[in-house]
Amino acid sequence: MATQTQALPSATAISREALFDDAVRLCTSLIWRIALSYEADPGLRRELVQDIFLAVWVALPAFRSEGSLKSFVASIAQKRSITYMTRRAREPRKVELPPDLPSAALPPDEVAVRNDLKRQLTESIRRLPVPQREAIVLCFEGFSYTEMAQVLGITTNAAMLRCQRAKTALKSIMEKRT
Amino acid sequence: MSLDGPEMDEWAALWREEEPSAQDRSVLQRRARRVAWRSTIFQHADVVLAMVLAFCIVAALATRLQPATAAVGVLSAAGLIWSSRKRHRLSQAALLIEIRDRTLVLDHEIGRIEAEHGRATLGVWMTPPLILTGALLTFLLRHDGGFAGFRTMLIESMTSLPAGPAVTAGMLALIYHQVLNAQKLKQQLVQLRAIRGEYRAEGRLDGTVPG
Repeated sequence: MATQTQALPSATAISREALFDDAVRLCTSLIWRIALSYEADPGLRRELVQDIFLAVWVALPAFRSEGSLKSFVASIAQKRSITYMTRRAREPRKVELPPDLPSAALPPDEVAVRNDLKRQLTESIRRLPVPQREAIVLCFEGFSYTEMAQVLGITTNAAMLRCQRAKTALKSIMEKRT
Repeated sequence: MSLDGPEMDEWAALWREEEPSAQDRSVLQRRARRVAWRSTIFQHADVVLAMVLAFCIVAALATRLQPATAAVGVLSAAGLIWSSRKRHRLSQAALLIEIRDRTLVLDHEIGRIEAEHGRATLGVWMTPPLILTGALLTFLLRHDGGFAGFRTMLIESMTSLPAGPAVTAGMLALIYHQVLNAQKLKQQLVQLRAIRGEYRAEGRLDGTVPG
């Protein structure tokens, strides 16, 4: 007798609360960095992250376990960030950086240099056109081109091309800053 | 996935070093725990509010029947319920969970904001004439002499203490708020269309969009 294929578990079967807890536990840093690529102000970034959490909660019933939770969350986070950005409708403000914290691994001057490079990198990413910004963030987060294609709703080949263009554009912006 | 060259790898490592501080993480996780119950409440609050309003109107009708007031109240409640349910459905659809194509997502968002902008603009243009019309109808119902004296009555009611200046200031503030809201929506539309243009340009470079 043929074995009946069981339905793949969905968010409703696993328990929405448990899945949301997983998303919060595993993806807070990812969501934080996606929000960072759109919002420089830390207070507003926290608001955006909360907005993204809300969107993830509402979207969870549509999640299918054959997909990656990380890709699902990244997709929601990026779409939410775009609409958030247009609602804010203003340029990112310059934000006072916290003082460089001493690192056991690096001397203080190297910490300062590294933090400055990090700030330049983040600001340069924010200067990219939104499609390239999405691609480079997913690239830096370690998504494969196939995963990027799923998140962005494009083909794998298009994801590869877009990533290459984003890297070229980012290099150009960073070179102008240094 | 190794990126092109050590420079990109370094930038990727720098990027991944960005982490929320311990304080931020604590705040975010606390807020995340509140998300579930808050979202359920807020998603249905406006519908519940409209139903409560409808119940109050029905209760008022049962105790004191005034046809004109009742008709306005019932129509207002019906309109509020319809509008809130429609807004709720639109806000759900706006998430567009299943749609990943960014231009489609943006098309939908632009359509939603255009509708909101249309309503806001209509509010700006309709509020002053509606207020004047309401004042004129009230005047005509109370005076038999036609329009004579309406202007004097209007100016007196707007300036006479104690409530006149406060009500006038309130109406002006309402109109000002509507104007600001309409302007903000227009700015949002400009940005959304620009971003949609960026996606289309990228699509052409990807070879997925003709032209």
